[in-house]
Amino acid sequence: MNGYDSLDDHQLLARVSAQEPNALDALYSRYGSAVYSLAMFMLKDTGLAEEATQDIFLNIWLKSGSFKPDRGQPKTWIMSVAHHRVIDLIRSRRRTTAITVATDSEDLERIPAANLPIDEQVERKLERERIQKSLATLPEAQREVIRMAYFDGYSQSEIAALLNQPLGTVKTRVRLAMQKLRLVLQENVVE
Amino acid sequence: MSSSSRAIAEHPEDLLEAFSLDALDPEEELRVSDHLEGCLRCALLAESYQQAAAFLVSTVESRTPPDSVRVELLAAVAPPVRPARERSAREPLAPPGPSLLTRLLDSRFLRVLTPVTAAAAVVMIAFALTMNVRTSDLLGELQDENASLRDQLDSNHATITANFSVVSDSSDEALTNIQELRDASYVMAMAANQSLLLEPLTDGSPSQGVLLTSAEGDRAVLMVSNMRREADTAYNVWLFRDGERHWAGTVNVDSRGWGTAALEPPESLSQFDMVGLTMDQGPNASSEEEGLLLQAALQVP
Repeated sequence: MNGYDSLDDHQLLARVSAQEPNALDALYSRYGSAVYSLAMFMLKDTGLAEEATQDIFLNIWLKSGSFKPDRGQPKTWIMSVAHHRVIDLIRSRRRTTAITVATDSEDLERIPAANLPIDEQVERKLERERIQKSLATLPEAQREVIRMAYFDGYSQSEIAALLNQPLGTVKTRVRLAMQKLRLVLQENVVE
Repeated sequence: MSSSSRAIAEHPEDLLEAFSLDALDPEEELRVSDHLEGCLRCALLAESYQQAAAFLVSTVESRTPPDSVRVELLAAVAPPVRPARERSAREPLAPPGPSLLTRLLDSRFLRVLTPVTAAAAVVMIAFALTMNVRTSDLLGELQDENASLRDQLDSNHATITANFSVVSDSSDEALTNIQELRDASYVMAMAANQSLLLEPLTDGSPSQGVLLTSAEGDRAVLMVSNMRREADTAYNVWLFRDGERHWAGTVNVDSRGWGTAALEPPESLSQFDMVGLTMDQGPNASSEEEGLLLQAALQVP
C-alpha cells in the first residue's frame, strides 16, 4: 500500500483536497460501499447507482477544499454530499418521468455486500440493527416522514401533499423525529 | 437590513432537522445554507442532525460497487497525459484523440504561457507606445527647428536680394557716372575744342565755370568750381536765344562745390546767344537773367 490507509479521515480529505489521486482511492475504499449502497437503495437502478457513486466521488474530489474540519466529521460531510447528489438525481428524474410512486424501503431486496471481511459484515449488521432499534422507538408517523424525506427524496411540502396532511404537522413530525433520533444515537455512542 | 444580514440574525433552528434530510424547499435551503456560512452555533447543530441522518444509511443493506466504478473514477482524476513508455503493450491503442492544437490549448504549458505572453505583449505595446510618443516629440521638435531655419533662410534671402538690388542700383549709377565721365573726357580730348569762361553775376562770388565745346557745337562739357558747398546740390544749365531759355542739362556738385556734366544741346551751340547756370529753377522764369549764378556769352564760330 502507499501509506494512505494509515491516515485518518481528516488527513485523507486534506490529501484529496491537494489533488492526490491515491488519497481519493483510499477514501473510496472506506466509503465507496456506503455511498453506493445509499445510491442503490434510493435510485433502485444499478447503472444509475454506479454513475451516481462515481459522480459523488468526483464531487468530493473537486469540493473537498470547502470541507471545514472545525464544523464536523468527514464521514458526515461525505454522506451529506452523497445524499444531496442522489436527491438531486431523484428529483430530476421525477420531474422528467412524473413517476411519484413511493416505495417502502423495507420492501427492498437486501443483498449482502460482497467482498467484505466477515468481521466488517458483522459490525455493519450490528450497527444496522442498532439504528433500526432506534428508529423503532419512533412513532410510525414520524418514521414514515423520515423515510419519505431521507430515502424517497421528498420535501416536506411534497410529503404533506402526498399524505394529505397539513405542512405544519409534517414539519413537527420531522423535527421531533430527528431530535429523538439524534438523542438516541448520541446515547448509544456514549454507551 | 439586507437579506444576508437577516439570514445571519435569524437563527433557522426550526429548519435544521429538515435541512439535514434535504427535505427543505429550495428557498428555505438557500436561506439555511447562507446562515450556516456565518453562524458556527447553527452549523454545529446542523452537523449533529446530519450525523444522525448519516446513520440512517446504516439501515440499508450494504452493497459493494463493481470495480469498474473505481477504475473509471481514478481514470477521471488521473493526470491527463501519460508517458508513452508506461503504456502497456496489451493496452489497445487509444482512439484518435484531440488534435495537437487542442492538446496544446489544453496543456498546462499553454495555461502558464498564455498569461506570460499576454504580459509580454502588454509590455511590448507599452514600449512601442512610449517610443512612438518620443519619436513624435522628436519629429515635432525637428519640424519646429526646420521651420525656424526656413524662416531664417527666407529672411537672409530677402536681405541678400535687397542688398543685391541696392548694389545693382549703385552699380548702375556708377556705370552711368563712368559713362558721363568718359563722354566728357572724349569731348575734352579733342584738339579743336574751344573753352568759354562762365563768370558769376554776384560781385565777390568765387564761383566760376568753364564750358568746353566741340568744333561743331553739338557737344559740350561744363565744369564748375567753388559753387555753394551743399552736398547733392544740382544746378540747371540753360541756353538762351532771343530772350528764351532752353534747358541743356544738370550739373551735380560735391561737398567742395565742384561738378562736371556732359551736355547735349538740342541744337548747335552756335544757334544760341548765351549759356547760364541756375539753382533749381524751371524753364518758366520771369526774366532772362533771373536766378542766374554763372553766365557767358557764346562766341562759337
